[in-house]
Amino acid sequence: MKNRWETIKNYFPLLGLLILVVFFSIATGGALLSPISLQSLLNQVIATALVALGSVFVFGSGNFDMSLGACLSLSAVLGGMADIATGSLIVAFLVCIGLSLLLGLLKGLFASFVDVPLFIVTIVLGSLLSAFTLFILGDASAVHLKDALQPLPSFSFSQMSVINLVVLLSYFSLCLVLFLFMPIGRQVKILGGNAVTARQSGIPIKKVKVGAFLIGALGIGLAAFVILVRVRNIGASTASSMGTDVMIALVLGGMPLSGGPRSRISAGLVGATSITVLNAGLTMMGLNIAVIQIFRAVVFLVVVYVASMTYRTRLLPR
Amino acid sequence: MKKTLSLLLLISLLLGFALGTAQAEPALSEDGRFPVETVKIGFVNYDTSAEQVLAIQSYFEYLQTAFNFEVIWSEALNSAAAEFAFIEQCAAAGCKAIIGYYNEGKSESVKLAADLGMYYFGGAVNADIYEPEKNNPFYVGGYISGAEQDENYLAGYAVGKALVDAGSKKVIVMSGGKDFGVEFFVKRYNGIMDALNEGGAEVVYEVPGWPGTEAFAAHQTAALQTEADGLAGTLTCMMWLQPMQNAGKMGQIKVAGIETVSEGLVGLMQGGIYVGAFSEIPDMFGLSIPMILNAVTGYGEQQRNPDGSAGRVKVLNWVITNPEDMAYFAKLLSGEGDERVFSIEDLKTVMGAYNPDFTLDDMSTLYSAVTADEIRARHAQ
Amino acid sequence: MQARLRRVIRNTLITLAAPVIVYLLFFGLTRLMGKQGFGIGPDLRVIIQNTVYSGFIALAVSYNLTSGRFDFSVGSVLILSVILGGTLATQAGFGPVGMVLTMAVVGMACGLVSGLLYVLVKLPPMITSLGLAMVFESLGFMLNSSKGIRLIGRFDLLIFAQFPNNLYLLGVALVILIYLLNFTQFGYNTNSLRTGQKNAVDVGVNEKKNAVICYVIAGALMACAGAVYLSQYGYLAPQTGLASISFIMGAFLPMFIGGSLAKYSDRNIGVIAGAFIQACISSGLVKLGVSSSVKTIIDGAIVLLFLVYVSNSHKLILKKLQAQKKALALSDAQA
Repeated sequence: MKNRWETIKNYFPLLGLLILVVFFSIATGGALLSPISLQSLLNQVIATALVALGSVFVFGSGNFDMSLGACLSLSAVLGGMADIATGSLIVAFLVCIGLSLLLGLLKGLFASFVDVPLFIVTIVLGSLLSAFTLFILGDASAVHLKDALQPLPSFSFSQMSVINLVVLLSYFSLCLVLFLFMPIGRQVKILGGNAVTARQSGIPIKKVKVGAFLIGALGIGLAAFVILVRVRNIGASTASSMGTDVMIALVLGGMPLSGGPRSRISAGLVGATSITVLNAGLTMMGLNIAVIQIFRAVVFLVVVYVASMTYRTRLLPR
Repeated sequence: MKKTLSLLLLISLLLGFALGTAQAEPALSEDGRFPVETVKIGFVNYDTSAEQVLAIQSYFEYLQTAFNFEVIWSEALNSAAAEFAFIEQCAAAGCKAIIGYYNEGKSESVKLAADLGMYYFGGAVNADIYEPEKNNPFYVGGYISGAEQDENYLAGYAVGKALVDAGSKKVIVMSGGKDFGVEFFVKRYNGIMDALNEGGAEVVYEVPGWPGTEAFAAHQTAALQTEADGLAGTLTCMMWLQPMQNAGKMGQIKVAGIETVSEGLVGLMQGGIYVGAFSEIPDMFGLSIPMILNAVTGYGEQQRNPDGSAGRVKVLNWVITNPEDMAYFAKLLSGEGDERVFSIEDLKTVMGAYNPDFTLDDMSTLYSAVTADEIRARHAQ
Repeated sequence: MQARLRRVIRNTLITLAAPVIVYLLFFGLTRLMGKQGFGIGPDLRVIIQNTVYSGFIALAVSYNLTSGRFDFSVGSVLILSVILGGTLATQAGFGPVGMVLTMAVVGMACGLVSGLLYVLVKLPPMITSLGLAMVFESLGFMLNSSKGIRLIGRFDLLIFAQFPNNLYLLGVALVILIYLLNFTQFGYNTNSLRTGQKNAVDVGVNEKKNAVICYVIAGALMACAGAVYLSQYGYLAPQTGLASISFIMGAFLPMFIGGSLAKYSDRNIGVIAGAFIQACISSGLVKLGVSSSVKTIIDGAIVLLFLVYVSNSHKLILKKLQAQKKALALSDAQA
């Protein structure tokens, strides 16, 4: 009996998503599921999902990262600058991914070798990187791809959707394989569950931490590139809410923020979709701004409450 | 007898019909608003609690008593990515048009709205937005400065000049987001500097940023230690009054800034603390409503330039240097009483459904007649 | 007795040394660069003002964060308590003290809601506080038709940004906090929960009650910070979309400095010493003409370096102890 309940509870996050979709479909008179809306949702889910999927590894191993948005915008801004200077999308792609990996490596090393409260370090790192982005932007507030030496291909709405889908599916498959079939997936969960056990069972803790941050960084780099190509105008505040969005997404996806054995790759995808549907649905209802805020807070807390039924502890969670 | 009566009736009916069409009263919705079907419009916004946005919201509520439109207000957007997402959501929600009060995506925002079958209003003042898409039929255009120079430069210049005219010689300049590369701050700053230079006033301290940081407080205190007798702001200077009081400098430093007209400023001008204010007229953004409704109801061509490009309506804003004007404008914006800067009747004169002969020039004429005298004259008609 | 007195004096000196050294450092540096005015007269007053404002926020954050509860809602509590409390107080015709107390009551009510929600739904505080930040922001946004609060010109009410009134306000708060943290059951419980959650709960500490009280205290302190802010600028606008989170940024450095000074005196005093250090850095960098974005980078770097040091200094001590032990063992062996 208890086992069956456990199995059912695993589907609560999906149930939460379903409730959101049904509710907003009705509230918007079906507009939420119109072709335009679906394409738009896809565009928005992509960036959050790319970052959230990789963050499953980071949060799963018991680490925190609140600098996601700042890393993303810095990567995208430098990628954009590289694009403008060279006129090559490939160079832009490499810069986005390379810079993001570099920042990921830095965070991974920090997490492995310097014993610090990572949550706060990454918050501070985030503000530091944003300031740095502003600094390199100098007296411009954003980079615009139209200033590029050679005109870059501009993709239509549907072309962009195809690009998005390909990128997301590839990265999702990679994460899935790593998480389910490679040692690192198991190691991340053990490390997040209990660091002492992890050490005793001979897990290479430092390698796992750096690995988790690098996988996460790949997602951030891909997201930076996708946003750069689609939006073509990147400033320091691009994706500024990514840190909180991803955190919310993981919780909505039914994963404890402290990581451990309950971590799952689906949390990234389901959660990113949930928060995107929530935000888009509220906008499309055309409510008063203040009402939107309250509404979001309440829906958020309720859905989180339902989704988090998969895990509860005796001690108050921290 | 019967025949005569019916003939008379017919004639009077025809007469009434003819008179009615002469006034061009268009078909209305069930609740008596124009047009018949509700037009949904998305409003791209970056600061939900900015005074100007609140003023625009209240003006739109007034316009909604006669015009049948609904607005989806965005939350505080801060990047092109967020802006694009909002535009897409508006399309999905059935919006017919987007008001680009904020635009980070430049011409690509216009293109996106157009691709999704929505009209786009705004950005005409900015060449980066206007030029690439000006021939896009979905781009209805927007406003540009009615004067020769850039609006933001003029705003800064007016602020600087108000201080020079009031006799300030040593001026603190509050540069806002100039150092962050925010374009309109740079322009306003340049305007202030040119006016001060021409008037022979010197800058004794430059304060960057805005309240909320320790650095701002430190700059502000240091600035108030100088021998300054004037303060010029590239944004509102309200956050200086309390510190001036605390530093015992109230009344010694004359203030001019980019402000939103309010009752509070009337007292400050009467007390000689404020000597000038440049204020964008929030109701000016109401221009979006006739332009969008014209486009939706088939009068879009009439409001385009002769060469077919998107219309640019000339507007002027308020340079206020005396308390009487400030009081009058504050009353206009408060919505109390019948007077408005641009009333519903004013707007009808530039809407094809009410005045099929209107031209783009008519719009410019209306929207650049904004001095207290001009507004009074308009209402006297 | 004498030993105890000596320890007290030594600890006081260590606590005071850090802020004094930073102050002197910037005093020397600015003079060396030919910049005048740092740390004296009006600049000292702005340092004190910043110390009080950031100090209140850092104190508020320290009550929860040191027990592992990260609170995203502190900024929204500040905004709501200032707008609601300020509006109520002006309507009731209260004086400045009445106004601060009203704001504090609103702040404590917010804290009570935060605390209760956290212990009742048992979700991570990061999550509950995000939800509540949205709620508090929108309540502040709905009041006064989104116009926030504007008391410009009410110089009789806005007295808490003036020296020495701001210090009095901080002083009263500090006395209460020092008493609470060092001489009450609440204080003992708080300290034991800080060091070991599981052990404390196992020996019967009521963690739920303790957490709720911490949130209430934090709410009151944020309201005080709000009163100081309102006094300084005369108005406060509401915020939406979680923009209020940024209020927390200035709290980190004071809090960590406070943590590392806690063993020499009291955590509350340590936090204020930290706030003073941060204010000196801010004023110093402004005097040196450092631009805003560069200053943010420097601030961040200082916090990071300090964190690295604090989190790893025990390793140095361990090494030193080990070396001593080894030396002792060697000398024993030789003997």
